[in-house]
This record gives sequence, structure tokens and C-alpha cells, in this order.
Amino acid sequence: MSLSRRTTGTMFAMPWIVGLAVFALYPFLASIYYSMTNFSVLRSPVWVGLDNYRAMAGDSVFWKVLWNTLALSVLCISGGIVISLGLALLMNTVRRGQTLYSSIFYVPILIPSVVSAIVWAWIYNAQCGLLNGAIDPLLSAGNSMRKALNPALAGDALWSAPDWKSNWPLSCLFILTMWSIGQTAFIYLAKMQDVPEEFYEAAEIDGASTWQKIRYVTIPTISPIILFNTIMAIIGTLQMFTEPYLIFPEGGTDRSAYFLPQYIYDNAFNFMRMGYACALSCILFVVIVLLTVLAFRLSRDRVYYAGQ
Amino acid sequence: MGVRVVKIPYVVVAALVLLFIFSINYDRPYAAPQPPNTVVVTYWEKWTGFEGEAMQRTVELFNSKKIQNARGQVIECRYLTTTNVDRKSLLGIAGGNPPDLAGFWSNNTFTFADLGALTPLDDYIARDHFDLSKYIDVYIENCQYRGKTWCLPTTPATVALHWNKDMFKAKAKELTGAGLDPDRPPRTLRELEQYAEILTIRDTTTGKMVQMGFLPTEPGWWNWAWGYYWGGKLYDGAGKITATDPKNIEAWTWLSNFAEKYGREETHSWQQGFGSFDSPQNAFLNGKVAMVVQGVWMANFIRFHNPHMNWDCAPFPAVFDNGGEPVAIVEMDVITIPRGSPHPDEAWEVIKFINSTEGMEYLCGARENNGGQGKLTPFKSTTPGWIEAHTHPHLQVFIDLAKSKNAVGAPKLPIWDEYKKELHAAFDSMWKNEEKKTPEKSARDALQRVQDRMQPKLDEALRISTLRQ
Repeated sequence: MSLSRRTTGTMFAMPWIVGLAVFALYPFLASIYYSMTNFSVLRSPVWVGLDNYRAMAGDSVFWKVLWNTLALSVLCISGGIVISLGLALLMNTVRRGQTLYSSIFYVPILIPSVVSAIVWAWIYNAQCGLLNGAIDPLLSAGNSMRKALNPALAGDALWSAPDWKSNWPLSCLFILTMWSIGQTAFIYLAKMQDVPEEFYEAAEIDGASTWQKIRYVTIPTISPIILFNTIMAIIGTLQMFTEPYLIFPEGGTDRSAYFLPQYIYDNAFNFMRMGYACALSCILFVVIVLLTVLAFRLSRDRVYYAGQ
Repeated sequence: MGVRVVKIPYVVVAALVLLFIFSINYDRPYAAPQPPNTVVVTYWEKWTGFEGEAMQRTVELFNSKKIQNARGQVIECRYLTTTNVDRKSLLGIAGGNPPDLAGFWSNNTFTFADLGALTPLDDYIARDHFDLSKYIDVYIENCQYRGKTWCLPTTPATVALHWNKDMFKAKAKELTGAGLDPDRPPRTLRELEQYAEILTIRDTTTGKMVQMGFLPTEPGWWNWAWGYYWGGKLYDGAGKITATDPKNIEAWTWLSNFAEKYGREETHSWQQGFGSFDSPQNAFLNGKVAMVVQGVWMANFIRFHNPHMNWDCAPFPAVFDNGGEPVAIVEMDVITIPRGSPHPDEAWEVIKFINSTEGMEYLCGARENNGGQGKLTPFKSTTPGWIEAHTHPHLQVFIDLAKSKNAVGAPKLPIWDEYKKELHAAFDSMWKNEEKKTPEKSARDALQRVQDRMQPKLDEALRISTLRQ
């Protein structure tokens, strides 16, 4: 490669390299430094070594939010893969109106996450939410029947519509996340339509059932996309902020819906403990890296690349 | 098939780069034209709606005075409503581009002061012989921290027990039968319990809650402060968190018993059906709760959303020997000069005007300011006739509360925001009591958790603060 071509190439790549260095690499390195300081943004940082990390080890709220974050991630990642894959398989079997179905499932993506979170907060409202509005008549009918059989039935023994946000905060967020699963399903569908027809014909000749065709043809062929979506989901769910922040502004009952990104935000901007917030961010980064590496390791012999 | 390489002319690339630089150059805040011989003072405030408009008109009144600085330039204040004003000011101060004036809350001023984010006002106060003795003690005390004055009030507030007289009348027979007077609010905690019980109504067929006499978690803004009514403290003023003060435990035990009696889950769930505070569906305004603890501002919202409501207010009953001085939770909006303000001298002139009798009475309740913010002033006395002309029908109750020896604000702590959040989380835990502890144990354990968590944080904050000095 001549020098001029190399220079030209470098120059073309430079905007991206500069952007990465200024907006990603520098903040990343700076946050590692600040994680070892007592820093409030308004005063110069004081070096404290690993004190923030030691404090974290004894911080019961940190462990609670870490647990909440991991639990929500497991729920959303595993549920997301299964549901979006199932949705894509269903859409793939439909020959007529496939574009219409795809569009319908894609529409929720167009709604801003803030709007979506506010709407769902109302849907989950225990007193006047749509969900309990639908359940209440069923429960009332059930209670009437039970009271007819046992007139002494009263008070707590009667069925009542649940308080979703207080009792099932993670499920509330899981359902909300699944609401916008259309994009992932859309990606799966695009890849499924790319699977050569001959593979299915060969499987049919061998007497494969529908399930076997999915198990041994479709899933292996789209496995790189499953891996890609899994990694995106790991990053996305571990960093989920807007939805929990709007639906559970105080972190839910006894912090049951308080997650690592919210705790980082509170420490940085409400408690003026930017150093500790940076340490929490570093831990979040490590968790994301570990889970991503784990995803790669687990998929090493299970992902099929056509070019290999 | 060969790949067709599309060559992009260098001139196109250069044009795009130039366009990018040109756009970046224009990415700057809009600067309104500045009249000659004028100094513009920027003022960021939290208020929106009628409160924001009242302050806007107060700023306009200041501008109409054409007050000049030492160089003979006219000071013009520009008011900007800013959401999350504390966080945006924080970034502005850190980035070296703060406003000249920022409106905060008294309880987070201590944190900002501790971080060196504010300009102390003491030199200005001394220079202009500004009289601090005109303020009601608790208000000026809440502007001072570590021996310096960091802010001055814009609008102060106290909170009181608001009661719906019509709901009391509707249950007059039962109240009289229990030896209670339906024409007055409860004066003791025992009376409050009795009133609350009689005024609570459940659906006769479903057993579901229809109306409550009193619900401590409505609106739930001062869950951290219940101990004050029992004589408890949250901080000893000398480096010790006192969340587990026996008086606080007693208060929270009462609250836990209350939750137990009316249903921990049920009250929590029922409350979700309340409309937002600033709406006709507010639980007090639409008659779902007969008594609520609310601030002086409540009268404005009653006037807007339910003007025919028959209501009154009184101090919340104290549960200790208070010597006849009612307990009052005090809150206050304040105005500060952030560190690095480009025009601190001119900013002080704005503060001074707002804290003059004319400016303050105009802001807090002048008829010619559409009733202003409908609050009390922080001063010991007001212009004759001002209270009578005020839109608040019971303003004197709040003035008396502010003047009480038992008027108390949030502890002056650099970690107060975190402490308050911890108290709220503990309160939730106590109220829900998932582990089915006794009310006393649920209260004690919740407060112990706060104590154990916050004391090391305070120790650390004080250690770092000492290191910096």
C-alpha cells in the first residue's frame, strides 16, 4: 500500500477515530480515574485509592440494585430471545399479509420510550389501570360464585385485583420490554427468509418434522443473529434507565425496582458522589463485559457461519 | 462483474467538512440583544405555571425600577424557568458557565455550600447594612450554614393539617356520638385517630375503601419528618445521625400501627387511584381523604380546582409537651448566587429587591400580581392590610406556625438528599412490613437500617470536608 493511499485511508477514518477517542475513550479512562477519587464535580477530586470499591462491598443498596439488575436482565434476555424468535417463526410461516404483521409488531418501536413508560405506568395502576379494569369483572364474577357457595366468605378471603407495581415490579418491566420486541423479531425474520430453501427440502426428504426443521435448520442458520441480538440485549437491559425511572421514580417499594443505572445517576447528580458513581459505572462495565464474554464462550461451537 | 468504484471528489469532502465546522460554530446559546449601558443578569428558577408567572412579574417589577450598578449601568434581570434547576446549575457551575442567580430549595443549599458552589452573601449583607433581624428566625437560620449566609428566601412555607369541613359535617352525628366536635379539627393524636376512624368509609358490599379520614402517606412528601411531631430529631448537630431517636421509633410505630389497622397493601394500592396533586382528582380536593398534611400552597390549588370547598387548617397535633408551641415543618425556596456568577454584584441587587418588603409582598401575595404565589412572607411583620387582602383565607395559621419555637426544617447536612431518600425507602419497608414483624419492630428495624447506613456516610463526608479545609 502506497503512503498516499494509507494516508488517505487514515484521514477518512480519522473523524471516527477522533470521535471515539474524545467521546468514548477519554470518558472511559477518566471514569476509571475518578472511580478512585472522592469527586463531587464541583471540587477537585481527592485520591482515595480503592476506597470506593471497598465501600461498595459493604453497601447493601449496591448489592440489592446489582441483584435487581441481573434478575431483570436474565428475565428480559431469555424471555426476549424466546418470544421474538417465536414471533419471527410465526411470521415466517405466514405467506399472506406478512408485511402487515411485521409492521404491526414494529409499530411500538416508533413510540418514544418516555411515552411508552408513562402509558404502561397507567396500565399497571392498581386502582384505575387498564389491566385491573379487565381483570376486575372476572374477579367479581368469581367472588360472586364463591360467595354463593360459601356465604361466610368475606374480607381478605375474596379475590382482589393485584397491585402490579408493588408486587411484581420486574414482571412489569419485562412486559414493557416485550412490548417493543418487534425490532428483534424483524431482524430474525429477515435472516430466516435468507435460509436457502434447499436446506428445508433436504430435511423434508430425510423425513424431518416441522420442529426438527426449526431445531436443525432454521436455528443453526440464524445463530449468528441470535448471538448478535443476545449481546445487544445484554447491553440494553443492563443499562435500562428511562422505563424504571419513570414507572418507579422512587425505586419501587423498598427499592424492589431500583437498578444499577438509577443508582449511578442518583449518586452522580443527587448525592454529589461522582467518584462513587464512576466506581459503580466501572462495575457495570465489567458485568457487561463478563456477560458478553460468557455469551461468546457459550456460543463458540453453536454458532454457524456460512463462510466458515 | 467488476466492482464499480465511485470516486468522491475532494471538493465534496471539503465542502462537508466546512459545513460541519460552520454548524458547530453556530451551536451556541441564543443571546438576546443587550440594550446599551445595561448589564443583564440571568436567573434560573424552578417554578412553572402561576408560580413562575408571579416570579416573572416580580422580576419585571425589579427591571422597571432601573436600578443601576456601581458603574452606572442599568441592571436587567432575565428570568428563565428551568426544570431540575439544581442539577443544571451544578453542571453550569462545574463547567464554568453558571447563571448569575439560581433558585434552589433551602435543604439542598447546604450540600451546594459545602461543595463551594455558592457565593456567600455576608460581605454584601455587611456592606449594605442589610437587616437580617426582620426575618422570622427559622427562615434566616435555614439560610445559614457553617457560620455563613448562603442564600435568602424567595418564598417560605410551613405545613399544617388541612381538613374538609363538609366531610366532618356529613359525619357530625357519629362524631358527636363519640364525644368529638364536628366543627373543629383534632387537637391530640388520640382525637386524630378517632376522627380518622369515624370518617373512614368502606363499601358495604365489597368492603373496599371508599373514603379515609386520614392517610399519613397522602401526599407522603414529609415521611421523613414524622418524628418531629413526637419531639424526635434526625441529627444531633454534632456529627451524629439520630434516626433511631426513641421519639422517632415511637412515631414510626404509630404509623406502622396505622398501616396495620387500615391495611398495609390496601392503602398502598388504593392510593394509586388518586389523581395528581395539581388536579381536581387530588385526594383531598375530591373528598377521598378528609384530612391531609399540606403546605401553605394548598390554598392555591383549592382555589383553582375546587373553589367552593369548605375547608380549614390547623397545626398537626404534637405528641410531646411542646409548651403550647405547635410543631411546624418548615420548607423554603431560596435564591443564591452560584460560584463563578459573571455579575455577582448585580445579582445581589436582584436578591435585595426580592427580599425587600415591596418585592417579597408582591411575589408572595399581592393582588396586583394576580395573588402572587399565594404564600406567606419570611418577615416577622407585613404591611398593614396585606394579610387581609391575601388570597389565602387562613394565612395566619402558617405565619403562627413559622414563628413557633418548634418550627423546624431539614437537618443541615451535606448528605441530606441521600439521608432523605434512605428514610423514604425505610418508610416504605416499615409500611409494607413484608416480613410480618410487630409494628414496633418494623419501625425500629427500618430506622436502625437508616442509622447503620447513613452514619458511615456522614463520617466520610465530614472526614473529606475536614481534609479539604
